[in-house]
Amino acid sequence: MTAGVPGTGIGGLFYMIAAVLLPIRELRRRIRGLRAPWSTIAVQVALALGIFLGIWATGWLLGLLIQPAGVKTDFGSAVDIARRKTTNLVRWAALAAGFLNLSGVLLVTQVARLVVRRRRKKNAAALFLAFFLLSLPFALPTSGQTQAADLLRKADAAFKDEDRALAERLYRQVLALDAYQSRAVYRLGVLATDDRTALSWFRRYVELEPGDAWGWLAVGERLLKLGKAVEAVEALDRATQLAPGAEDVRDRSTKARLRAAPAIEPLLGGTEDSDGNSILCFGARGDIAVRGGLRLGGLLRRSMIGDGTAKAVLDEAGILVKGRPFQSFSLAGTAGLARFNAHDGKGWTTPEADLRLRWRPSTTSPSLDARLLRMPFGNSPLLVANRVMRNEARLGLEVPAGPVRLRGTARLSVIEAKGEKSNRRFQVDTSVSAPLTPQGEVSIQFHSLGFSRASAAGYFAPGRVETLEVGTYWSLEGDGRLSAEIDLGAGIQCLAKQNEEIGPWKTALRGWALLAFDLSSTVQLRAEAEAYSSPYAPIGVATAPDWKYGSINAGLLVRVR
Amino acid sequence: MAQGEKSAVSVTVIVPAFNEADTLADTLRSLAEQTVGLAEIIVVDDCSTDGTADVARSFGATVVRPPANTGSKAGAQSFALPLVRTDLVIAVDADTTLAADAIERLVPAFDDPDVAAVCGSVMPRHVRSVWERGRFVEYLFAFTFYKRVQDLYGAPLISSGCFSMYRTEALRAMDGWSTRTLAEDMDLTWTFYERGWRVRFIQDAVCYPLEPHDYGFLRKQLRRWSHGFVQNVRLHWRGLLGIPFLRSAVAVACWDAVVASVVYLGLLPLVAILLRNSYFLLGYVIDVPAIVIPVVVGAVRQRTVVRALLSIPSFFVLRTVNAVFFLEAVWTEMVRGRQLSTYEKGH
Repeated sequence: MTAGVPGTGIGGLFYMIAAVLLPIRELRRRIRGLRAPWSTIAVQVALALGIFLGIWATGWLLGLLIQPAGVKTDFGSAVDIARRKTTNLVRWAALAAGFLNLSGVLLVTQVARLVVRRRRKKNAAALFLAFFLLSLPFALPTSGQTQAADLLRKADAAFKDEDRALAERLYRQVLALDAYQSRAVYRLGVLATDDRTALSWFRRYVELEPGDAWGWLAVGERLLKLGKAVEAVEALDRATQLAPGAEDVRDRSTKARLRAAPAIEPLLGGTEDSDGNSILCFGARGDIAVRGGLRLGGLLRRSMIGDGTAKAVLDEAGILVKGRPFQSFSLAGTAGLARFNAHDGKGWTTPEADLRLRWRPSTTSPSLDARLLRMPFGNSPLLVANRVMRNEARLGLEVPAGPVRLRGTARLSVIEAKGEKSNRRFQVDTSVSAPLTPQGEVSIQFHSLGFSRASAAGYFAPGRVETLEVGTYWSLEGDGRLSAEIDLGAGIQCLAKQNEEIGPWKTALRGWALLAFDLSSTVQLRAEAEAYSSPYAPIGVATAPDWKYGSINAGLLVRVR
Repeated sequence: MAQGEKSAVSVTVIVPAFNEADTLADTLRSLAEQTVGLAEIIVVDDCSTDGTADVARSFGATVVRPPANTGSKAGAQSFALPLVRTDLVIAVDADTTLAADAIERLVPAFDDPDVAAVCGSVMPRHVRSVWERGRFVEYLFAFTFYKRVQDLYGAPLISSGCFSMYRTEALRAMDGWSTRTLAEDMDLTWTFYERGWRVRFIQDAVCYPLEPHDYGFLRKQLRRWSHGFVQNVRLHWRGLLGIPFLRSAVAVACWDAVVASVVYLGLLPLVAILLRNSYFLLGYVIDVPAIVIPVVVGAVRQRTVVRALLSIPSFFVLRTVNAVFFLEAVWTEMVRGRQLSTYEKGH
């Protein structure tokens, strides 16, 4: 077989130059004691020169052809000089374009070589060589065989003995000698401790062994774990084609299809607080998986707010996006419009948004959280009537420190309300958490917040609130139909109203839980509950001191196959 | 197979065959007529239904049959590899005949212990249809100029799958011919380089495969070659960067396969139409001398100058079709990410 389109493009030029340089290369080889017949080299050089002359003549002929027609061209006339310039231009332009193209391609090849191979072996001389592209042909290929096979046997033995560290080290050594040893690549995927690393190994494996259904299965499983359902479906489809009868392949494929399927979730919820405010909330949201680990969707929600005497309505409509587009980066966001309908019948529409970004390279490295939001305070008819909006920027850092994780978050909010100046709210949260199991942790937390001034818009704005508590968080997810997340905190809190001394420590309790129960393979019941009992609840808004608050929301997630 | 009084060489020939009863006899006859005696000829009857095995047995070849069709030439060849008991092994397509001295000319290259594979020149057995004529010119050009330069730089781009000799030890170290790409010969050649082996080209060792006599055959062949090339570039690009000359040759081939094809198929006619200047169409033949000179030199050696000159227009037709298939392969494999995996016959 042949590669490329022979004779077309820069290939001919490349081989012509290579042929012309053959005598120089041969002299160098002879110094090293190697030799090729001069006659063979001479034939190739003659061919190259013949081609060069042929192209030169063709350029000259084409120049003649494209000269201005119908002009008498007496020898020595200005037109004749112009014609000769034209023919020269054609020849030189053709050659220059070819050389430029070829130099560009060779330069890119060299840069790629330096970038890729520098990772394996730093070679300062290579940088020098990069500037001498045409000297490449003089170099001789390396020779000798590797010990990859022996190392592979040792690595396999270590893998069988479940000595994971040794097996990984040996498999890496195998790949250093033989980058295409597919079994070593696959085993490194199996040995990887996180899904991202495993995926990169398995992807490399299916490049090497595209006909192996179990390689595609491994790729699909890891993609699914990383939330890339659409890509997982493609990989698992490939596995299904290669092994149509394999039950585990079929099961994973079905699971991936479910994850990638459009989802609709009717919502219903309610809240009550100690101030007599209540909210009945209903609506729906839906989304669909798209490539890149993202889901796109929309949300419609109505909140009917009452305090026993007045009523208000808050309508929200927006688009949703969430997912993990890159290995170490995840996002979740909504953007849309909120419409306040106060009890006096006046309406107001304003944009709202909530964007959360998280950067976490690995489970053992520091991570950053950033959040920007603009949301309405819709806890009471008074807040709705005053069109109270919270604009907040939040930045959090989590650092692993031996057996514990240190977390710190700073939030700055600007609270807007009709008829009064903006109020600023600043909050700092710090915690030290210790994992008990992969599913759960305990923590000691300290929170401090304060508003810049009091407000008459319907929310409580203390000058300072400090909370010290013990918290615990659990994420319980297994192969069963029920999964849960629980976040509980208990501690003490003291607060100071604006321009007052700080008060005594009082008990502060909080709890949050999310339960998900699979009613069938396509229907999931979800319930979220939240409760606070503390002098000041550090959520979006509290309408009074010593506030108690409870909410429960339910959704029925239906995946449409 | 008895080889009479010929000097014997320690070489086994593997001939993969799937329904090749019509062509296999010529292949085996040419093997019988070699100037050196062969240790064994193994025909892998890949579950044929046309009497391929009977033809093979009538020539005294060892016939082996896998339990099920292997699905590719590589699979069939690898099936026979464990049976090879000689230091050298040759793979010959069942539609390919060899010049009588072809094998004898390949053997000395293995005096170099670093050589793992040696290939020879390829010439179409018949030069009748436009596609065969185009291929005739292409081979004259490539094997007279490109491949010899590649060999002098120690890096033939590919050891042709239709006829190549291998060091059995090296081949076994690779687990035989891989089925991971559609161009197993290119995959094997590049893997040899990556593992430190050398590959040689011997111009005077000539084989004669059947080339496409119609568009259907040509289409299968070009699809396999173009997709196989792209698959191998994707698979080996990191390793190739460490191999002098070859890295540049492959980069240039990639550039020509894509950019030159786009210029050839789209840019030239577009510019000619937009600027209303037909002179730009001369770009289609501007490299005629670059083609003609090596082709004539190669044809002089074979005493086929007139046939070669008459076939040159066919080459330009073939080149245009070739460009279409390469662009399709790059689009399908690189942009859409869909790998062609169905092996269709055509050497």
